[in-house]
Amino acid sequence: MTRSDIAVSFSGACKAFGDKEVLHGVDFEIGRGEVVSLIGPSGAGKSTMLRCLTLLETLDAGRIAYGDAVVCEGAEKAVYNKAAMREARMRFGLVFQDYNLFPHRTVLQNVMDAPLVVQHRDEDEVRKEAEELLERLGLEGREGAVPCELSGGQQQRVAIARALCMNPEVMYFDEATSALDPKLTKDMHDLIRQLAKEGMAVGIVTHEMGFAETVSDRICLLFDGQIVEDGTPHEVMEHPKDPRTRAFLDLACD
Amino acid sequence: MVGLLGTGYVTSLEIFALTLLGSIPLGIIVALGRLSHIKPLSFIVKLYISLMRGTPLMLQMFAVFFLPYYGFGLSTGTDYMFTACMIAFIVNYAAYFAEIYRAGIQSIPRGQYEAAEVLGYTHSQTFFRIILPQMFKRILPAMGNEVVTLVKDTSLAFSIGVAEMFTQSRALVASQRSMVPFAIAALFYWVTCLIIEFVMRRIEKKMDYYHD
Repeated sequence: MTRSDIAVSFSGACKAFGDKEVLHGVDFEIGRGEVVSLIGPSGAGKSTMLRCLTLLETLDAGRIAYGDAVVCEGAEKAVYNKAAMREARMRFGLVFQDYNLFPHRTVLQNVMDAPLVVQHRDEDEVRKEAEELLERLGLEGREGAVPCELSGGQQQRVAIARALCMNPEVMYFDEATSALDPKLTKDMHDLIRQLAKEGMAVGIVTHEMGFAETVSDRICLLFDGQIVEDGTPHEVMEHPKDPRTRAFLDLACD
Repeated sequence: MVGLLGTGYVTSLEIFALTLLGSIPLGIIVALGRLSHIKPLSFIVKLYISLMRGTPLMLQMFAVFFLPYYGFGLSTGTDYMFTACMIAFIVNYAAYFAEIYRAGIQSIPRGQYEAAEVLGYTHSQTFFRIILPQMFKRILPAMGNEVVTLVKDTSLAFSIGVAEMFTQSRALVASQRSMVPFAIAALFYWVTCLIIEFVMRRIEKKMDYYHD
């Protein structure tokens, strides 16, 4: 993969909470049009890694870059660049596990607000795009509803529309399918593949191995703050490098 | 008699309205100071809130009233009475409102801040577009209580001689040797509180379009 194909790169990432080390020198990247799942047991550092990637936590050391926006750098101590952080936030979108929609605003307002007040885009253009996104996600006719009137699956789709309306280059999904029934899981799979086809880089944090296997181009397995497997679903499932992988997969696939 | 009580009532309403007008926005600034990460600032604000809540409003009013004279040797005109009363009320109520706001702000889930952060909102956009509107709904019941208390607290202005309704009713009771002025004043306070309760209920109902 050439440099310009890499949408996000994360290298030498170290993070500790107090004296508890959570990430030890993690290297990770997602290419444009690529779907990468990050899996691993609870406590392996998946959530921390996602929070560092989305700038909700800062790394102690390491480098994060979204395209040419180098958010932080430093092998000893990560130094963050405020302007690059702002730029990076325009380049990724995150769908939270519990969606975190704004409960006091309608579906349409949830989707339109950030493009208007953060990106200062034209209102008619944003409205058109938001309505198209909502229709694409099967939410037509619900534009005026408030989040509490929607089902969990619908709320998640509003959260997806809200993130997509910023036109990001990378989309992250935290536990994308943990609250979805088989039909909605299938829809989510199709949506993610479609986004990748359009050139989006997609990062998924999940512990549902079945979903990760079918949707991903690549799977990274995190154990104790280190990536121990990084390959196609086939490579990871059939030819694991780390002895712990087999045991984890046996449990996860049951 | 009703005429005098009526002018007193207008003064009481004036104290009431000006206090709300001043202390509701001032309370937000105080709450933000209280929540500030700048330690000396939050300490000073904490001290101020503690002092306002820990001493009688009547004493505070006297302090504001006499400070120019005893503190700085300045003589004050008779219209300073009302100004002193308003300063004391606004500064006192801002402390109470600030604590209500603080509780409201702290009750907003972290996820709301994080969602705004990831979308690139600035701190002030996050506060004014996401946190403040949600806080408003959550604090309505507590605010209602405080506003009703304020209606009755306006009578404390009597202590520095502002001619509000209680002052008038007391004068009338003395001159007419009758309890009726007190009864009428009580009715005025009560009806005012009933109106406020009604208005608060309407606002709460209006905010009921969502829950979280």
